[in-house]
Amino acid sequence: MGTVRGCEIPEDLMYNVENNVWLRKEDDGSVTIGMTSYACALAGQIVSYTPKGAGKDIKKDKSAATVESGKWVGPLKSPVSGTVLSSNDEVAKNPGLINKDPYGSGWIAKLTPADFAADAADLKTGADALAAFEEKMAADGFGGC
Amino acid sequence: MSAADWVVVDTGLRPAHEHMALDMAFMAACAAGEIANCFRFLRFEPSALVGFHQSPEQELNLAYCTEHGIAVQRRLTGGGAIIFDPQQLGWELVCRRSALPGGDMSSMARIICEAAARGLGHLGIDAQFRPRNDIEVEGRKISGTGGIMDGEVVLFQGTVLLDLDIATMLRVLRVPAEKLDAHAIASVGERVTSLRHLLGEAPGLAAVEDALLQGFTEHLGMRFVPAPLPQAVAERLPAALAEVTAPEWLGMQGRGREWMPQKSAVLRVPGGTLRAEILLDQFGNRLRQVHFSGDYFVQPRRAVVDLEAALRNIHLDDLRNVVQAFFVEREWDGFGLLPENFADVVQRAAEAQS
Repeated sequence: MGTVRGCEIPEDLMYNVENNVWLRKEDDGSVTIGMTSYACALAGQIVSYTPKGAGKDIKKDKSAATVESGKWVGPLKSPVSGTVLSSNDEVAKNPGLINKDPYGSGWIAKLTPADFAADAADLKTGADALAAFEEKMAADGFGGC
Repeated sequence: MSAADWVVVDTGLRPAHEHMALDMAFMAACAAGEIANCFRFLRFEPSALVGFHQSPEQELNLAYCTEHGIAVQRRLTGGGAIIFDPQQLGWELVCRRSALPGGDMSSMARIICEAAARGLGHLGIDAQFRPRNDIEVEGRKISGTGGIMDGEVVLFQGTVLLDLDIATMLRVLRVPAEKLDAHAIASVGERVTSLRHLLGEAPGLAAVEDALLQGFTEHLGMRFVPAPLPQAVAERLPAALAEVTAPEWLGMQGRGREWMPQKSAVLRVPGGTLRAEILLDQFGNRLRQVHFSGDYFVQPRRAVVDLEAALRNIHLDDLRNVVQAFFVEREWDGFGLLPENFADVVQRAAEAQS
C-alpha cells in the first residue's frame, strides 16, 4: 500500500489525480470507481450520496455521483466514459462508508467502459500516481491525512 | 486585473430558478476559464430552497408554498432547506480553488465565513463563525452557508438575514416543533436573529454589501471591481435555465415524507424534564434536525442550541460520541442534567413510534 502524506494510495489502482478518483479494472471488463482517501480527508465526513442510475451513459470526467459533506457538495467524476452498471446501495444507506473504506465497501459506481484503452492512457498508477498526488497535495496546501 | 482582483456582480432581485441557473452558468464559465473570480450578490422573490441532496416533500410544506406563491427550487450547494424573500441578501464567491487559501474543505469554509463575519461586524454586531458553516451573533444564527467544489471550481454562498418572517418560515419549512404557535416562534427567535432585530432597524442593502466586501478585503486581501453580468455567463444562462426548470431537477431527490418522520420523547431526570423533537431520516438512519425543550436549566443557555447544531445530520450510531465530545470541549453546567441525558432522550425519540 502506497502512502502520501499519511493518505493511503494503493499502487495497484489507477487514478485521475486531478479529480481525486481511483479506478479498478475488474476481470469481467467492468470498472469500479471511487474517491481516494485524500479526497475523503479533504471532504470530511460524507453525509449524502446521489449516484447516477444504472444504464446511464457517462462521459469521461463527468459526474458519476454527487456526495455531500459539511454542506459542501461535490461530484465524483468518472475517469472513463461508460455506462453505469450499478451504484452502491450500502453507501446510499450509510455514506460514511466512503470515509471508512474508500477503496473497498465505499466504492462509488461500477461501469462498463466505452473505450477503456483510450481513456486509461491518461490515468496514473504505481509510483507515478504517488508522485502526482504529492504534487497535488502541495498545490492544495494539504497538511496530511 | 491582478490575482487579488475580483469582480462584483449584483444580479439583483430575481425568481429562484434564475438564481440557480446563474449559479450553474457562473460555474461553467469559471471552469472554462472565461471569467475572473466573482463575488455575486443576489436577492430572491419569495422562495423555498432545498439543499442539493434534499427531498422537497420531506423538507417543505409544498401545499402552503403553492397556495402562497412561494417558489420551490433546489440549490446546487449542500445543507438544509431555507426560505428566502427580499429581506435576505445572498452573497457568493465563484472562483478557482487557487484563489482561496489552501487546506481542506472545512478550513476553506471556515476562512470564508470568518471573512463574512468580519464584514458583518462593521455593521455594529458581534458576528462570529460557528462550526460547521454558520455565522452567528451571541448564539443566534444570522447567516447560513454552503458550497460546491467541482474540480478546481469553487462556489461558496451564504445569506444575511436583514429581517426574517419567522411565522412564515415555520409554515414553509418542516421543523421539529410540537405545534406552530407563539412558543414555537419564540423558540426559533432564540436560535435565529436578523440585522433588524439586532440593530433596531435593517440597514440598507448597500451598507450590508459594502460591509461584507470590506470583511473579505481585510481577511483575505481581495480587491473588488464592480462589473455587469459577464457575457460568458449570459451565454450559458438559457441552457442552465432549461436544466433547473426541468422536472428532473427538482425531482432528483423525491423520497417521500414517510422516510423522514417527526418523533419525540421525554426524559425525566434529577436535572429536570428534557424533551427532544427530532426529524429522523430513516433511510440513512440520520438525525436531520433536533430540537430540545422542557423544564431544565443549562448555563450557558446557548449550549443547548449549539448542541442542536452539532447533532444536525449526524448518523444515529455517532450520537453518543458526538454528545460526549460536545460537552468535553466546553464549560457548562446542567444543574443536575448530564450529557448522557441529551443522548438518551434523542435515542428514545429515534426509537419511538412516529
